[in-house]
Amino acid sequence: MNFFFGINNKEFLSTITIPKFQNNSKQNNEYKVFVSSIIKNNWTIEKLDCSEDKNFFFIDSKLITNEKNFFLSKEKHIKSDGKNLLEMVYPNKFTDTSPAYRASLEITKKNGGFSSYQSEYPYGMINKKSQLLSPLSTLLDVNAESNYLIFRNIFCEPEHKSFYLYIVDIYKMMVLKKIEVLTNKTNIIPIDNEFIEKKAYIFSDTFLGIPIFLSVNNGHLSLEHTHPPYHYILGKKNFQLANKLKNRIYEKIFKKNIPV
Amino acid sequence: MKKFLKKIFQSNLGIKFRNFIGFRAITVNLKSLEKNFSISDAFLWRTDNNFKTIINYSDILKQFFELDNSTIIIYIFDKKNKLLKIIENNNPENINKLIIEKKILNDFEGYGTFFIFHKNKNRINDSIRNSCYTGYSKNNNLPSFVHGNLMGASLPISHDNKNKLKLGIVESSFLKNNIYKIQKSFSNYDYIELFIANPTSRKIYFEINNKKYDLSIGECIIINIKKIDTITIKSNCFILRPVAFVYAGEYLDVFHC
Repeated sequence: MNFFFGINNKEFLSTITIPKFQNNSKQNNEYKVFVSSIIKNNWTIEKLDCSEDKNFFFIDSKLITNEKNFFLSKEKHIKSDGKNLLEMVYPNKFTDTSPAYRASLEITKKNGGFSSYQSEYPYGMINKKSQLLSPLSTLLDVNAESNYLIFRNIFCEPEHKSFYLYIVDIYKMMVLKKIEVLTNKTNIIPIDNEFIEKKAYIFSDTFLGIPIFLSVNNGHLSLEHTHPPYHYILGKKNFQLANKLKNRIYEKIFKKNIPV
Repeated sequence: MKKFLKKIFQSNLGIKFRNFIGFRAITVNLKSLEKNFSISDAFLWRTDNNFKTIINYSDILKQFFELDNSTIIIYIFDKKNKLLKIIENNNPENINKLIIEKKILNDFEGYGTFFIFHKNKNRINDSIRNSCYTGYSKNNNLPSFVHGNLMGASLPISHDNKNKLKLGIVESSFLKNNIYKIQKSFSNYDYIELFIANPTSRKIYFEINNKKYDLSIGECIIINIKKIDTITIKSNCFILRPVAFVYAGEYLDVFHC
């Protein structure tokens, strides 16, 4: 099962298109779109009133904030008295597919172009804390007018907890910049050109999330996410080797206690 | 007897038979590629219609295994699987860039696949996957980037193995009964180009919205589609995931499906 999310910003509009069918074409019209948001430190889940046709649900930009999560569910699978998202949302099998069940997140620049990617936030990630590592320069463009890191976290607890993302220099093993972000939010972070270099990586030592990279030039947009490190290793030791890499960087940078 | 049958069931031959008849099929068979193999996604490059292709790839062996002195080899094929060029990077940095444009291919205008492999004199007890990032720039505009999404070929990592590129990672079935419906509405675009590479070691047959195509080993195709809402691919390949180029007005977007 997956959650979906959008991006809300003055410069861009985003829309989410959620399919009613699995990628093997099986369809189940009992599933509807629900939206979860945090109100007074509690999760509130409601059925979303959005437009639809026979194949898709269309979530318009007016329905999207940086804090809302969207997902497909049957009404009977929602438990309103749960304390956290894991207790409140039953992880249905319909959206548990391989390849992953995805929605299309498309952003449009006002008076400009558009870009999209097939997005999902796995249910299995919403109760996990771990380290995160991603290069900045593989998807951002130093020649573009502007570049953004869009960092989305969904965590099961009903709070917007502050934590830090670090831009680190993996050559000198030092922190270049400390960025405060929130859980359960799409954090939109402008990235200066000085950080779009081979040496610069994003690192989190607490919460996970999906790092998405957006470049803008002349009305044209490019939007894509990076792979988590374990993706590059095949076999049973993939997480172990990815954690070893992240721990090595963490030990060298953060245990040295370099002032930020 | 039960143990013996299990062994046959899980052997390469057994897997081929299961896939052939469609019983408990294995869609991606990495059985003989578990250790010391560099596996590459099947990536698209294109220089047609004023495109150039930007590739950002990392030194995976250095990052994860702390191995120095790797060579990263990029094989560039045309759409009919003819090898056009081999590029060797003998001094890779943690992140590397290559731009495929007409001038590096003797002014060749067209498209095809490329594969990226990592070589080192040391053997490793794992296999790695290059699934890097490719950007497609048309008319020198901002490239639209996508990551790799489908494994396509393998090469041993250490020099003590045979240095032979082997095409085909994804398995196929006897019948054309695998359905992949792209979870995306295409109705807002003027037109669509779907890039499809054959990720198997067999000829594949497929239909896109009931129009028939086939691709021999190593071949790829860009299919033009006019206004449409949904796209369904029916094939004898267990996983056939395209990269889509969609156009609206003067703007282009590229994404994996």
